[in-house]
Amino acid sequence: MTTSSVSATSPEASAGSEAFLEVRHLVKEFPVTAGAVMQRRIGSVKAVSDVSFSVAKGETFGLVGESGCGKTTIGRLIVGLEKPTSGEIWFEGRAISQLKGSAYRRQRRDLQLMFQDPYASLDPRMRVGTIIREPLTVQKIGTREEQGARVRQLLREVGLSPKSVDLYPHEFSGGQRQRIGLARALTLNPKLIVADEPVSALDVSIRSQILNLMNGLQESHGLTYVVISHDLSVVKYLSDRIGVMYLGKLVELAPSAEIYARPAHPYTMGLINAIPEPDPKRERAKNLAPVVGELPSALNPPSGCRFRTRCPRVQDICATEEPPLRSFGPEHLAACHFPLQAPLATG
Amino acid sequence: MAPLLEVTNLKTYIRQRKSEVRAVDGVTFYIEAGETLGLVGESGCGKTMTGMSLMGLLPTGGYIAGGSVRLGERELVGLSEKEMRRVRGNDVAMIFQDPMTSLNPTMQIGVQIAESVRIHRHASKAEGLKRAEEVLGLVGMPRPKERLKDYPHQLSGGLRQRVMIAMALSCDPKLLIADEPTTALDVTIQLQILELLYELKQRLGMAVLLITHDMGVIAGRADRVNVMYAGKIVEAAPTADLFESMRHPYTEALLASIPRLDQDSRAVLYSIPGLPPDLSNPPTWCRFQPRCRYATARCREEEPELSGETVEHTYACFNPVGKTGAHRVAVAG
Repeated sequence: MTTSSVSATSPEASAGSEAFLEVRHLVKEFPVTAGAVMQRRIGSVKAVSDVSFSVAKGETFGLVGESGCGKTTIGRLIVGLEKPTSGEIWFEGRAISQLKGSAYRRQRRDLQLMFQDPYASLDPRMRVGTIIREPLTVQKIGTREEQGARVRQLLREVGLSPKSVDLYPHEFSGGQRQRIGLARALTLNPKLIVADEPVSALDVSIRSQILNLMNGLQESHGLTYVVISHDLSVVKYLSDRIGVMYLGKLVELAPSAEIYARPAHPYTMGLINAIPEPDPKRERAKNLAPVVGELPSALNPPSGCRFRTRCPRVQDICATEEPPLRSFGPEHLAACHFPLQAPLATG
Repeated sequence: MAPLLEVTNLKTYIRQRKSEVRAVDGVTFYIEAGETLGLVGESGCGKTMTGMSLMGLLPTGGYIAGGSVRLGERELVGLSEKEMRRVRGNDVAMIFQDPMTSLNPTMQIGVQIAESVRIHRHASKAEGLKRAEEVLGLVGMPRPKERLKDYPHQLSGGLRQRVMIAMALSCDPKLLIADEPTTALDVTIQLQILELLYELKQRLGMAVLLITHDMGVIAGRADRVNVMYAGKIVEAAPTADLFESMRHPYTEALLASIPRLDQDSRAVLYSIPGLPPDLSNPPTWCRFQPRCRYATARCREEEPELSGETVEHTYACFNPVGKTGAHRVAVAG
């Protein structure tokens, strides 16, 4: 796990990795085209812009940020649904981001994705049993009987009746569908699950069921989670450590309690302030310093610090120099020229 | 002085092919001029349908099966569509959750806002556009005159929501119904929009019916709160009282199931077992009973009515939660 100050620009030798999961200087660009008949490339969006972090075995790492910050893209990069434009992903000491063919397919078993929208991510024409069995079929694991037994076991583990195998997704509520999605993510006995907005589409009182379930399964299965959400309350609840992202960059990285108690980056503070808490006294006593303005264009992000156009602490240097990640305590990094607290002295 | 809005025993049912859903089943509340009333509950509880009923914007098959909606001096239930159109915009306006689907994607925003003014006030096109520019400035849109020609897709979610608010305000309504106004927005934009609504409310002296599932939004912005469950109001109180001394088990359960920023990570959250009842065939006893920790035999036989120790804080429950808000049963599920 990286604890030293990591400059966004200093390259590291690709000499292996000791972390369970490590992403190093990850960049993902998507081309943007225009034109009705002839599609010409007018630019690219750097959805992920030089992001590095690592995750320890058995922990829950949270990625939080708003639209366009790149967190979903990172999730997809980790499980192999996208290939990075540059940078590396290391898993259990092996470089996995450039794998192809059967090696890629084998690797896919260990890192699974729990999708965001329980209404869209289950094929409405497939029975639940088939949906959960599908990864086994694709990976050619087990006989039909063995697969069937595994599916029933998974359903029980997520708190659904084994009789669900014959039903279709539309016969289930949102919370139940999310359980099906979780069961499917567990089918191949993965070591790490990326949960993308695991509860956002669910009613408040159902969310706690899924959150409790995720925590419970983590213990029983020895799982490692990467939880991605725009909802800091959910991320903080589940995670041991949190990375805060803004417009493709990692702006702060810290243990959960630390992020809330002593945020260093103004954007993190803005996020915390913006979350309405179910406590009237605290809400009305909030000293806001709100994040003003709108998200800048991802095609043409601001120079220097990307957050500067909305930052209450902005100064001239923020436009000319991109702030490096500096250390603010054990495992606490933030990238800001004028952070909310003093960084640890280096050296 | 009589409240601005008085809703009495409102029933809105929706006829479907084989059944009739009692979406709003006897709801009574009031809003004073200039105050913000929060209407909170989860999906299916009837809060959106309540808002729609006040506007006369019911879905196919929907009808008001009973009750009264009095806005100022006027009874709204039973008005013709033509008469309702005069009420909409001028007296009561509504903003919706997802501005992308609520705004017309093929019309410039200036024209859309102007349309509201032209329909509800019989204004000319020029007058409409002038008013549109004015209200866009009011809602904090940068360079409003230039934006009049923008199309919705050219704007971010937050700006679209400002357009929708501008549209709602264009005819100076006395009551603004905001149905999940910030749910589809990024959290930092949410805060901007909520602040905007608050400022506008103060400046224009508008009353607001704030419909949301988010208890946090309610905590910060509502003067009073009504909690809805399965088509009924189960608790009504001033906001501080609701959070400090909640009486209805559903309110308690709802609050206990929300992960809070100041809470330890991974503390087991309370989980409400089961699902809400089928409103095409609701029980004649307490609708929350099957999921309630404190249910007794009586709860399975009778339906509790809203009542309370004071007229300000009422709840519909035979076994309410303790007075000080100290939970009667340890919350750890």
